[in-house]
Amino acid sequence: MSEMTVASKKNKGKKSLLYIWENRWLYLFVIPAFLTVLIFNYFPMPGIIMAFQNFDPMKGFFHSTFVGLDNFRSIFESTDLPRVIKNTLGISALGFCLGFPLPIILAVFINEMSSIKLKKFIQTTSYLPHFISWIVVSGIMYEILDINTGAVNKLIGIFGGSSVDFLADPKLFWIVSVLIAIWKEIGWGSIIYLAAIVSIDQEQYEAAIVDGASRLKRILHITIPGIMPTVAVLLILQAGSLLSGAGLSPGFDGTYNLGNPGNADASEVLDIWIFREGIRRMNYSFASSVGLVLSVINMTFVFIANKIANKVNDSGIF
Amino acid sequence: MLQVKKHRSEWIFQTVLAAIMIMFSVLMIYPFLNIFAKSLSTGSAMIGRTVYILPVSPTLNNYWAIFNNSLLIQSLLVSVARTVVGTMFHLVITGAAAYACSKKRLKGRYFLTVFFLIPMYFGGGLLPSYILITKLGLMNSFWVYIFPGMFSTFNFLVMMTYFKQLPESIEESARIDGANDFQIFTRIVIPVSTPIIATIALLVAVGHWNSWFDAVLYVNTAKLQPVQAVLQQIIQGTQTTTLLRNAQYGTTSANTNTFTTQSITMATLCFTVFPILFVYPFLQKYFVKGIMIGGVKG
Repeated sequence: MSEMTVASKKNKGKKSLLYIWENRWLYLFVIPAFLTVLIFNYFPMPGIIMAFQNFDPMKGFFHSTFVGLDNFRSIFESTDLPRVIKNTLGISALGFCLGFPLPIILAVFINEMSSIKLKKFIQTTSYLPHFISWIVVSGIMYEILDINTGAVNKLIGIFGGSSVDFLADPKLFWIVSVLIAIWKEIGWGSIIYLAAIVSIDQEQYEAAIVDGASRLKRILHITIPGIMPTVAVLLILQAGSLLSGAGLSPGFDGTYNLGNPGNADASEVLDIWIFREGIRRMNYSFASSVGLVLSVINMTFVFIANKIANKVNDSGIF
Repeated sequence: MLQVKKHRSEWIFQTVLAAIMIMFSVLMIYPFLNIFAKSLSTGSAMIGRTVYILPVSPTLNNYWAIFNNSLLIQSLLVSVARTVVGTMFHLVITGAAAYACSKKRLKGRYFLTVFFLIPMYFGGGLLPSYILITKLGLMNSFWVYIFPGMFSTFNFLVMMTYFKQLPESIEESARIDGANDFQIFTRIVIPVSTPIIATIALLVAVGHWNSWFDAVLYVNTAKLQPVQAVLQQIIQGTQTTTLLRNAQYGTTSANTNTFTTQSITMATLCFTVFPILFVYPFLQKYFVKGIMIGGVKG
């Protein structure tokens, strides 16, 4: 130790070179990942500046004219905005109100089942759609919801109802797309709650049974409080996606693939708007200013939700 | 007497619950069975008819049509290529970084971990990334499917957590025998980490197999489209004519008028689901654990 403290600077330099040489493989292991993240994640960050420019790809970031907040002003002047906001919030609210509690209910139901074989079967079938792309899901849904030959409309017919064009009716798009998203993700969403339920102390249940608590009482007073911390964390995480599909909303992939000219009035959400304006119509600056507003609002929601969670039961994530 | 009553009420409860859950399961799998039945039906026989669970005039022709369709075959090859190459690159790059960052003796470890974590919360957004890809000359290149997806913070954290809990002793003995970090990583750490590597490989592979948006954004060359992107064009109704024409060219004249866009689309849909069904049992074994490790860390 005393030798180290009196060592000359030259020696120190030699030492750190030696250190790097000795650990050269570790540094070589990090470099590709470091460069990947630097290029594909950090390089685009300063690009946000184009939200304040009249960006011209030929001129680049350095020579495009600076327009201050003009792009943001034109967001609010856009005639599309009210409709897009309405669709985004509508789908997100539905996705949240239905899609947040349903996986919890599924997890509780699965947990109450006594047959292990049946339990496994239910889990296996309910996780499956999560691994299928939204393209395939939309293809499947166009088939079974078809107005003329779809199995669902045939079923409605059997019960005496008239056929419904589920995927071409703007009035139905919100609920239909959310129900499809729930079909796709409910099983996957329940895994984390199931894991939380399994980790609840079993003695609590045994004591409750001895005290004569009914099944419902045991669920309400042991299971639900036991998973509340998990629920709180997931609620906070959901808060950050209120404007891009909270709960089990179809999100960009879902709304993009289920969207068609028939339901366009109800299916154009903010993320799709950014994509259409930015990539298809090449209004780069306008679209990135919408994107910036979106991420600022989302971040704000996360912070507010986290504050509330900390205040209520100290379960915030930061 | 009370005991019997209790048993009976429990039995009734379990039966009702089982019935509800089986109905739920049917709801989950029926859509798959439905398109599978359609993929095995003769196209012309399906027109105007509802197929529930049994194929109409069963045939394998729709699947043969895929193999005779240059557009679909090409896109399937692109998808296989991006899945294999993309998964390998992802594992090597994310895995090596996770191993290095799991070592306490790596100076700058804290900085690196924060550096890798920040993109989970902040990003440039769609447009700046798009401009970047254009500037890098990755437009219409196969590598646009691979490079941006080589690293994932989530998988990095999962693997790092795993490597950290491996006992030091196995590495120490190899080091005494004169092995360097590269040899230790490839010959000792990787073999004992197969469960976590297999899990991540499967999840990344499924992600690559299913992805389509990068193709929509960055690729407009027909021969570089992955199967999901081609499927999307078919479903959205912009690709049907080519599809049918191709299908008819490739098959004998006797079959020409038995195909419909619908029947071939159904076969292609099923064809993209099969590989996932094939790896699904392996996936299911591990992904719950993966979620939990990630959930704790992330």
